[in-house]
Amino acid sequence: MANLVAIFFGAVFINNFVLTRFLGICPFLGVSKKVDTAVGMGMAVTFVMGLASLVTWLLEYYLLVPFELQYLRTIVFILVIAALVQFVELVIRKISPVLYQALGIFLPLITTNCAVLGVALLNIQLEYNLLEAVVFGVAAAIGFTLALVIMAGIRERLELVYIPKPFRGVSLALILAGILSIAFMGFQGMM
Amino acid sequence: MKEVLRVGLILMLICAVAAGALAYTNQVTSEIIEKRLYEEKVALMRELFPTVESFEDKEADGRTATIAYDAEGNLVGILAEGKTSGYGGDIRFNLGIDKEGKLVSLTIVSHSETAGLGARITEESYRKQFIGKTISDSFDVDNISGATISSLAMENGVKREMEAILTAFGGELAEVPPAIDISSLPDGVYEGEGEGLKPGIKAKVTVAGGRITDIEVTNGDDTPEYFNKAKAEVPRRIVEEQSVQVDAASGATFSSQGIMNAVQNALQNAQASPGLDISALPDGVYEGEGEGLKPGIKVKVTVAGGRITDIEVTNGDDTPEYFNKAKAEVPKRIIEEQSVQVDAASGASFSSQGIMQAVRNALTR
Amino acid sequence: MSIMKEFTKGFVRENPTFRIVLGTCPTLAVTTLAANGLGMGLSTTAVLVASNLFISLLRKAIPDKIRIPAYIIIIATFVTIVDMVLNAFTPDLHSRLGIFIPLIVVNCIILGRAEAFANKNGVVASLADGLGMGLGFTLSLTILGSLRELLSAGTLFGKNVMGAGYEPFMVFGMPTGGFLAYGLVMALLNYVFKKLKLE
Repeated sequence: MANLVAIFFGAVFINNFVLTRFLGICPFLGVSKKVDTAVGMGMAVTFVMGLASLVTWLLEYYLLVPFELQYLRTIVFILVIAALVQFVELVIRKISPVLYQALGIFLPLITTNCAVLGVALLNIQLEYNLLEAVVFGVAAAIGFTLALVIMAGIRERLELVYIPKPFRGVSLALILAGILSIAFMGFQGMM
Repeated sequence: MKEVLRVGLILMLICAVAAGALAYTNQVTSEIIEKRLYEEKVALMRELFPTVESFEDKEADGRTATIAYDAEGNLVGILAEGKTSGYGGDIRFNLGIDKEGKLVSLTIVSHSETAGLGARITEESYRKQFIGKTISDSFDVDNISGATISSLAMENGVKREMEAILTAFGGELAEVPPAIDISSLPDGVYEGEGEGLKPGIKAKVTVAGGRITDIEVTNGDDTPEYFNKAKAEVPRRIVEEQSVQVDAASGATFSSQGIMNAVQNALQNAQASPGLDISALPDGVYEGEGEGLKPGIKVKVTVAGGRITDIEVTNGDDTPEYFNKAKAEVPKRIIEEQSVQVDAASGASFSSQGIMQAVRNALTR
Repeated sequence: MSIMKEFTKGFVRENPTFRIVLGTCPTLAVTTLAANGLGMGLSTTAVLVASNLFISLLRKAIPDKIRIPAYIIIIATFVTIVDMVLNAFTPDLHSRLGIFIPLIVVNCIILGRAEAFANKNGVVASLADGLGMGLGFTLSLTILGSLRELLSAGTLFGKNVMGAGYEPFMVFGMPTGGFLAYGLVMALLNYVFKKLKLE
């Protein structure tokens, strides 16, 4: 149990996927302009990453390993993730058309979110068991959402301030991310 | 329908071609990768155990190890993985142990300790402290300040895993003390010393009529909470079971083993004392039993004219490779030297001691 | 556009890292050392060229409905091949790039170019586009990597450049420094482009 708690807090704060591991940067820079969109995106990603962790883990240990097909891991994992995202798209469309509209193109883009494939690969690399893998996947997504929401909050406020021309847009977002990253480094001694 | 079929077929075709290309590339590259890994392993083995000529991977008790052999096929080293529970999760490490049971290398494979604190177990200055130790040494090294739990986990873990690895793969190298035949010990009070978590455990063992009748633990520096627990239970069990190796007191493994080691040492001192007068033995064929790495070594000793003239080893369950070596040399030496205590066959100490014990057992009945 | 223009646009005007802002994850993660940036850039270029080539070749044969899964399979195949080849021939680089090699498959540059260019254009043009974008990406990664390596360790491609008395800005080797370096260089380039009216 203590192990799971350590994995959870590790993924959310200490080794935050976005701010420390550099996974999920594209949507992080792209969807973090408004807080509500950020929250919606975060929830969708959490669902996908949790499911993806589960399914890819099962595929790895019940299909790839017994048949010694580990070299097919990249292909299999990314196809599974693409399928999962399609599935989540359908679900969101049914449950909340508003959210579906708001997320727009970013929903299918979850497929290319390196955080999803990244967490699936890390689960294998860190030799987690199934429960640990799912906890890690969900925690990583929560960490991603956290970073996203904080960033969105800051950028919403910055809309009202003068920013010198060269820094507008992505450049400023990156510098902000750098400062956030230092803040998160403070969690290092937490455990 | 036709459309779906066509689409499905095209997708399958692409998959098939992709899979084929990958399988081919995998075959070609994995050969190269395996070769490289093998060469790296050879280099590592040579660095750790300079006399290595060959090595093989072995599995036992759920762990794998690479055993290194020299040109004569003697075991010169073991490289195996061990793990312990650290502060943030499991710490996995590789241990290189040479044929004297000394640690020659300690490398951390993975850990989840806190960066800047527990994570400093990977630093060479920390790991270096363990090099050269055997399992009878103290593993109390300088802790990493601010990372007590990580440090303690390493100290206890490395020692424990070393013992486990040696027991599983080391055969002759494990310092599991050879069993002593208590019934053949002369009466007396003997003192011995052993090491638990810390060295300096002293015990006074009283032997009467071939039995241990009393054990007094006279000294011990281990943490009192655990040591007292061991002190309360282990001597009592030894006397009850008339065996030195008994169940440890729960939660006080190190102290318990330390007390057992002290008692063992005391009995070894008893054994070393009075010798056997072979010239006074009546002629005849004597049978006796002893314990090497495993029990059940049986011998038939022929005595004629006050001399041991023949020794036949009739049974033994020890690992054949070692047991046969002992069988070939020890009886011969006993007859040459006309003494039951002779040099053990090199690399087969347990089996040798077992045969000697069996012979003594035969002659002291 | 002429083939030459297709090739060179990836270097500056449509540089994937600093202008279109694609492939940001590996950009931040591997640019701690110039050599890593170069290695990752070239690996990505290899995949990009191969996938652009095949997708352009097959663009009329792949039905529109399944084009995304088909592209993913093709790209993932080449990524896996590059992964295996790197492991076999350059194990050092392979272990330093680590998890980011298989992550090339989700590098938006590759799928992006497949969608935007290779499935609409001929083979030669697609090759030029892929090569140009890939080399532009490599250029950006190498520049960022050199900058961060220089500041955080005083070396360039492993060779000590700044001299013995140099106190390194260790922050540039850490995640924070990655973000800052990328953001600052981008701001600088924005300014330069504006001034040179290259918009």
